[in-house]
Amino acid sequence: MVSFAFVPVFEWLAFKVIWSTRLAPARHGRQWSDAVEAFLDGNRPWLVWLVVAMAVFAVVPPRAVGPWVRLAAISTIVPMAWSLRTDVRFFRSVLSRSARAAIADALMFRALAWTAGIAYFLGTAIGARLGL
Amino acid sequence: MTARGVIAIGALAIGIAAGTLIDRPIRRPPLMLGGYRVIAADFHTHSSTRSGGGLTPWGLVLEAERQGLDAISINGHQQVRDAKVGAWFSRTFGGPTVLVGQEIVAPTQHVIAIGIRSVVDPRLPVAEQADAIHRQGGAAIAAHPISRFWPGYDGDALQKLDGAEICHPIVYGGKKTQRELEDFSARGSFAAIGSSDAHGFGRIGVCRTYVFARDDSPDAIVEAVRARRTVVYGAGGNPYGDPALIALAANVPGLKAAATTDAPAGPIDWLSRISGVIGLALLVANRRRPA
Repeated sequence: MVSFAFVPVFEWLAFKVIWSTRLAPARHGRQWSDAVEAFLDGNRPWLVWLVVAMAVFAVVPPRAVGPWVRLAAISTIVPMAWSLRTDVRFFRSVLSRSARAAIADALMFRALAWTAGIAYFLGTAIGARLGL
Repeated sequence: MTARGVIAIGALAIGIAAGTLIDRPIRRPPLMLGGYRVIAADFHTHSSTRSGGGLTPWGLVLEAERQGLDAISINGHQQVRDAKVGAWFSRTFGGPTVLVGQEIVAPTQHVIAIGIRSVVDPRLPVAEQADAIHRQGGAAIAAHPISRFWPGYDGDALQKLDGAEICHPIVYGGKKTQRELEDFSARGSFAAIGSSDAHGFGRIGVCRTYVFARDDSPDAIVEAVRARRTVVYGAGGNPYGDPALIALAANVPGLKAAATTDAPAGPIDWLSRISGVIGLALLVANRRRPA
């Protein structure tokens, strides 16, 4: 939990950037706290994926986890696609964005949050590759 | 709170309580063989502070006790902070010996340093990394030296490395990987090392090194590794290491069993796992959808 707490932190920050910039004209009096809570509900697909992964790793013995880790990595395509759909629907239905703007909002959010998260998580390895 | 929420929290509480009850430290009296103290060690673990691990440094110490380990090294990626916190925790509250370590991450290879005090520059060639480690009184171990990492080790490096991982969880993915680790080990005179490289999946001590040391201090453990006094049981239970020590270790069947088998889960263990999963599943299903 401590290790991966950076995920919701970067998500919160990325949504704050989008809220302050792209979504300023779309707020319609909606409060930031309500908006961020509603938006982060888009993490539900990942929570479902985590519960399924937990159930699998609760029964697979430690020496047999190898193939299951690969399968778990490949299966992340499902929550990735599902959460993208959820976020686009959020921007369209809650913030009344057009279809094109909603997709752009969702992609911009991912560009910010995922870049920050990957840089933080892999920063050490990336730094080594860059000779830093 | 809804009925489903109450059930979810109840299931989680049962899972946590059962898991806490069943997770007892495994404490054995010190094992002496051939005049040496046999230390069950895991020299490659990662904690949660920017090393991608699932456990905090103190969590690793507590988990090491539960896995029957006498010593661990905590190896931050390019940092030694976590390890120092873990070592302090173990000294203060009691627990396995914690060696301060680092995983020196470079594009061409990874090297595990154990028994060090400060960070080793990953931009150095491996031979110079080993020199820097030795100047600090530590030992240098080739981490998961599968074939794609071999170009990182030149002749000088092979001379100066103290150990090489010959058992790592990747060997359970196929015989080819075990052969690659064996082929690397044959290129030098290395202490056989078994390590979990634990990040969160799997468990620490799933691969382990039996070190034949004078005592359980960090200096004695490093000295034993540098003297190649280790035994490792790989996939299938194959032994690696000093032949004389392998013969000694064969007289204690529990050593091989602890290194090669997963203890079967008992009923309380299953209760903990099933309750925990059900509790979290219900919590996720019960989350109130904001308007």
